Amino acid sequence: MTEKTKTHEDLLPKDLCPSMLMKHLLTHSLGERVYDDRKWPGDGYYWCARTCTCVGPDDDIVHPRDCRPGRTCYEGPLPQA
Amino acid sequence: MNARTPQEDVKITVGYKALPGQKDDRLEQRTVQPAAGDAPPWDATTQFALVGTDVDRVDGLAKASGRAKYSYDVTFPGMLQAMILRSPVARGKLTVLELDEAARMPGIQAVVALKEIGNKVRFVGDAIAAVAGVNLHLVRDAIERIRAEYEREEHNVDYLVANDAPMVDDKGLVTEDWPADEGMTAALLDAKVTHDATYRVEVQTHSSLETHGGVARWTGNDLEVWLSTQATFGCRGELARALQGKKVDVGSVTIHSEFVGGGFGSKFGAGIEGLALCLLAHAAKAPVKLMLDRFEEHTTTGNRPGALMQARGGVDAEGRIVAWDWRSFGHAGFSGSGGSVAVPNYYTGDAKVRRSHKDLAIDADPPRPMRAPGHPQGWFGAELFLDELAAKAGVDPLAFRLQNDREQIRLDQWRFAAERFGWDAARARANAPGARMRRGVGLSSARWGNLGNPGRPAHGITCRIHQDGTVETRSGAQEPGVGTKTMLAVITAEELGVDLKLVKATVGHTGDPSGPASGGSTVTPSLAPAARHAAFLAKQQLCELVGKHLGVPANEVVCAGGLVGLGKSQLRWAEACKLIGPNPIDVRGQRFANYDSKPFHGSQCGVQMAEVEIDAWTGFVRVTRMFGIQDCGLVITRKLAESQVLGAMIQGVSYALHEQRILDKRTGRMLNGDFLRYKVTGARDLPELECHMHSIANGHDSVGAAGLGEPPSVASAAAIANAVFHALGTPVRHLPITPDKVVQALAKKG
Repeated sequence: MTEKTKTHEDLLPKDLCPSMLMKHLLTHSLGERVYDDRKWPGDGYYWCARTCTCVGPDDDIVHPRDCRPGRTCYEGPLPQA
Repeated sequence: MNARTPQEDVKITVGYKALPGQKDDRLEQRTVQPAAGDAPPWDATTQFALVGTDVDRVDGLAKASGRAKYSYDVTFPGMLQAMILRSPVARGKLTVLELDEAARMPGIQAVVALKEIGNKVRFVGDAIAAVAGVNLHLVRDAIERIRAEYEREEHNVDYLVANDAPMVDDKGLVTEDWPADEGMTAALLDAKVTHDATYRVEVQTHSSLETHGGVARWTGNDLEVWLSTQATFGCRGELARALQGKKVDVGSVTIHSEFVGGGFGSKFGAGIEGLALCLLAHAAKAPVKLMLDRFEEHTTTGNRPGALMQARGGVDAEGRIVAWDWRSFGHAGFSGSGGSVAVPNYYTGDAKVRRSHKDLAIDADPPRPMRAPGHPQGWFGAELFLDELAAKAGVDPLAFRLQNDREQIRLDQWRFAAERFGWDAARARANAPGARMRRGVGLSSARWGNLGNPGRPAHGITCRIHQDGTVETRSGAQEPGVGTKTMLAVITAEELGVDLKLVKATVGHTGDPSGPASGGSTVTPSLAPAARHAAFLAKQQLCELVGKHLGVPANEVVCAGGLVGLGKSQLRWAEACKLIGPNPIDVRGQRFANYDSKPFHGSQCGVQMAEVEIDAWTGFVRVTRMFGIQDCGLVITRKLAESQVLGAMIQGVSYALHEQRILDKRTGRMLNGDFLRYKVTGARDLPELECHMHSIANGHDSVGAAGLGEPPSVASAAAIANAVFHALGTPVRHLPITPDKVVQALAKKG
């Protein structure tokens, strides 16, 4: 089997909202190698620190795909001009 | 160990000595560069006084006697009780929420909304509002007085009919064609023997004995929370962020979680229950306790997701796997993610391999990580598939593994386990034709890859040596029952050369140095080196005092066997500590980065074997014995390490034979959300369990330990399923292997 050398950190969007949480952030394991073809980091369980649930303050699902600039509840670093 | 500080290259020996009954040591030399000031590395040649022995759990008596205080046990004068109003609707929108009548009831001191009108409702159990009052009877009454109305929408709680679900026939087989791939087609055509099958696993809940929840108490803007959690520091930051409107910052939030009644991956976040109890306590200006009941625990706090898996593959004339095609579909709850499946990657070598996965959203509580996320599901499908393929090829399953497994550690483990378990004799024992009671044996591999991390910021441990000779080791990280306190105490006692009874380990208070969440088997490999560094620093300070007192060079003073000194100039530990004075030696150790050099092996290996006895008339399966060998790097406390492995086997028996969440398709509600109808393995179901801890010096850091939350959880269900296949002569490809499935499999076989 071809093993890709990517890590969870490689899959983590750089402009992610700091309120988005997942296990690998809490276990400091973003550097762990990813052995499969997943597109997003972690185990797929994401939640919001502002709501403590998998739904953000805007009533939409929490996901690294979506918790990024442009979302109304986004609180993270904005793209540089 | 002496107190010399290494700052240059250090040569170490990594690997392991031959397993009992085997001849070949697997030892290699490495050169590592420990960080300046770190403790010198332990390796395969280190002689330990305490590490690796059978010490008792340091908090075992407190737990057994009831003195251990879990969040559930915390109580304060004037403390209020609380509950959450939950949605009876699986999908829709909240249209009315009136709290006033409940808030006016005598004895009710706070009511808070957890959703706003217009918010979506996503599953039965979604939190709507919470109530705190002087007792749970009044709170229940108040919950019933809340007026909540919903605009219902059509829901679906069956992932097999979700959008993007594959076509499945009435036998549960995926009927969709495999995506085109010329290379895979050619590899399969070239194979001597091929096989194609569909596997399925059901949803398992975490079923922690202590449910989610806790107690919150405000003092002005300072908040203390006694929380049943796997992430004290994560929850502190999370709650501070969630409570921004209450003028709270992280420094004003303290989490306590010294004893946790299990989590298994479900307790990383504070959860809506954690937030609700803080909001209620703030509103009521009184401490509030909110612990979920068993139904809420089953239905709102995550699960190990179900999955549908299809495999096809082939072997060449020598029995080598040449093609491996895999696709899986995971139940992902309303969030649409988290249903992934992992499969072994060490059998396929140069074979043509393809793998894909798709998560399928349904209107139910989303999955959360659970001991080796995705692995028990995938290993069940993959290892049973391999046994079926081996059977078609006419090869014994063990010989098939030995032929295809690419990892030397596990090759040694397969042979060792086979000898200890009596594989050849058990496998050769044939069931009499038509016999009612049938026996079979099966096996499975395991793998998990995490050797710890330094943390960002670096994980820390406080070590204090007191004038009376007692020692404290403290971490703010939590311990969900796995033995972290004992691990910290043993590492500290070993480094200081003192009796374990002198060391008190404390965890779970965020006032102490930070550590990782208990997930991914990261805590032991991340904190053990920090604990050792802390003890090493404390020892250096003690050696300075003793050296000065005895007139010997401090850097040559040795702490060992309860003595401190050099040669014949020695003090007993108690005498040496009297030199400390009234203020303790108080140091903070840290977890340095992992060594740059390649570890002996980048993951942990294991093997399990199981024997079952099946009543062919009733379909009842009983696991009669299991054996496991498991590598966890350096074994720090053998008894506790074995306990982790045996516990994983028990959970594996439960997963293989019993556990299954059943949702009512009509209402979306869980039909077996209690421990009466949600069957968890009990004492009478348990087989004879035995394991062998395979201690390996991995050369990864100053200790070289690995965790055991995940690794032993991977293989158990797969080994049992393969034993059932052997006993019946036909596979049961759907967990849990309940009597009806056994009877159906036998009927189909004829």
